[in-house]
Amino acid sequence: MTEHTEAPTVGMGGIRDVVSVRLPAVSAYLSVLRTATAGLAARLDFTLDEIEDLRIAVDEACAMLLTQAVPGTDLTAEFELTGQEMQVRVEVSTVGTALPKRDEFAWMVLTALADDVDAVTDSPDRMAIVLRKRRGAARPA
Amino acid sequence: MTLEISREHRNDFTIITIVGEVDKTEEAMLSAQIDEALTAARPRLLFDLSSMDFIDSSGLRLLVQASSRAHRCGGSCALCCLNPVPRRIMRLTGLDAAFDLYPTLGAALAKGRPESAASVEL
Repeated sequence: MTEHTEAPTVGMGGIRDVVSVRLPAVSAYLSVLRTATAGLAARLDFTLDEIEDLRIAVDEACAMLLTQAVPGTDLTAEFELTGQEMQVRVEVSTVGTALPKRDEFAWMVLTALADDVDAVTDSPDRMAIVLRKRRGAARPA
Repeated sequence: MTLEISREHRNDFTIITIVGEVDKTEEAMLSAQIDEALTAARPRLLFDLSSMDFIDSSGLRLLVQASSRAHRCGGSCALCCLNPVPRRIMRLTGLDAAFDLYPTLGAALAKGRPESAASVEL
C-alpha cells in the first residue's frame, strides 16, 4: 500500500486535504481501506453513524469495482476532504467497461449510505465510482 | 484474519456465531457454514451477531439466502444481539423487517418474544 497526502491548502471553506491510497486490487485489502476511511472521516468530525456509513459505502464501491479489475493491478482511492464533505473516488483498471448495475443490491446499499454516487468511465480501460457524503446532511426517508 | 465463525447445536437450534467483519473477502467462509447448517431436515438457524462488527451487502445477501432456504425446508432463521453498525445497515436496507430479531441469545433460545418480528417474507 502506498499513501500520499498533498499539502493542505486552506481556502475560505476551511481545510481541503487530498489523500491518495493505492492498494492491490484484491478484496483482502478492503479492511485496510475501511480503516483508512474511518480515520479520515473522523478528521472531519463526522458523527459515528456518518463514519460507519462512509466505511460501508467505500467498501461497497470497491467490492463492485474489484469484480471488474484486471488481476495484478492496483485500486486507487482518492479522498478529498473539505470542511463539510468527503468525496471519495475509487478506481481500477478494467478490460472494457461494464458499469455497475444500478438495480444490484450492492448499488442500492451504496446509494442509501452516501449522499451522491456516480459511476465514471473516463477511459475505456478504467472504471471509477465517485461518492460524496456531507456532514450533517439530512437522509432521505 | 478478520472473521471467525463457529457453529453449535443447542436446544433445537443451530447457532452460528460470527466474530469480526463480514465482507467480500470472507463471504465464502460464511457461505460454507450456512450450507453445512442447512443440511438439517428442518433447519432452525440462529445467528449470534454479538461480536460481528461489520457486514456489507455480500454478507447481508448470504443471511437473506440462508433465511429463505431455511424457511423453504420448513425451518426458521433468526438473528440475535445486533451491534449498532449491522443494525443500522439492516434498517437502512429494510432487511431488519425480514428477520426475527432477539435482544439476547437466551431470549432467542427460549423462543420468547422477539424485539422485532419478521414482517416481510423473503
